[in-house]
Amino acid sequence: MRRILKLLTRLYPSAWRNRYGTEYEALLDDATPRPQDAFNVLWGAIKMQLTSRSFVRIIFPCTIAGALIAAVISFTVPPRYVSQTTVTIIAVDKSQTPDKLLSRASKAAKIDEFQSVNSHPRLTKNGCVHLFWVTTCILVNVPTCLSMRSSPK
Amino acid sequence: MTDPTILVLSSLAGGDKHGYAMMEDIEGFAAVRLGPGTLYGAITRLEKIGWIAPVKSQDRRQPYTITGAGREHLHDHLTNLGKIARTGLRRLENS
Repeated sequence: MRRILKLLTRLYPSAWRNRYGTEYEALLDDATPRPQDAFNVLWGAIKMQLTSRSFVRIIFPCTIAGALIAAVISFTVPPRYVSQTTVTIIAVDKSQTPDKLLSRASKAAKIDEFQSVNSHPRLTKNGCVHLFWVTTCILVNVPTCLSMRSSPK
Repeated sequence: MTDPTILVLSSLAGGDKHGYAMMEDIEGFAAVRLGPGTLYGAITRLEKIGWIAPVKSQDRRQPYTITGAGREHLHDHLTNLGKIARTGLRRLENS
């Protein structure tokens, strides 16, 4: 366990290890290691990496990672809602039936026209879901990184 | 009352200590066991702010001391905390 903790110490920024590395290892030698200490050291290393790097170097990789995770999630989650539309064609002249008014081809053209008016091509199928996940992940990333950088604790 | 920075300052208010001694001391008076990452995160921040400073030592274990500014901050923080605690307790008794 102690060896794992010492290995995890290498995840800290090199400047931090140069300053605190020796005494940190001395602490790990003295203290009785517990399994949760591995998470504690790992989390400490992540926080130290975040606080020692510039803002752009934090936000950019986080945003890219968030967008990639979001894209994977949105493509693996099945669509939950299916939209269905019924188009009813009513003859103005009561003596004629709709079949007589419109040929098969013109009815198909009317349906295509209706669909293009009522649905944006880029937001069809899973598009909305993908957009939602990607936007959410980006929006969640930015304040998280900001709070981690500015937190005094 | 588990803010690691206040726990470290409170520990150093009782005398200079190295990391492991602080960990033991804090566990003794606050019943909180700070993990190594949390403890050294607090030490790093406190040293950067100037509330603690390293003491010269030949040992691998680096002792730290609380500075005047750190002592002042700890005093203000604990005074404020005391006021909150007294108010809360009084209100609990009256309710």
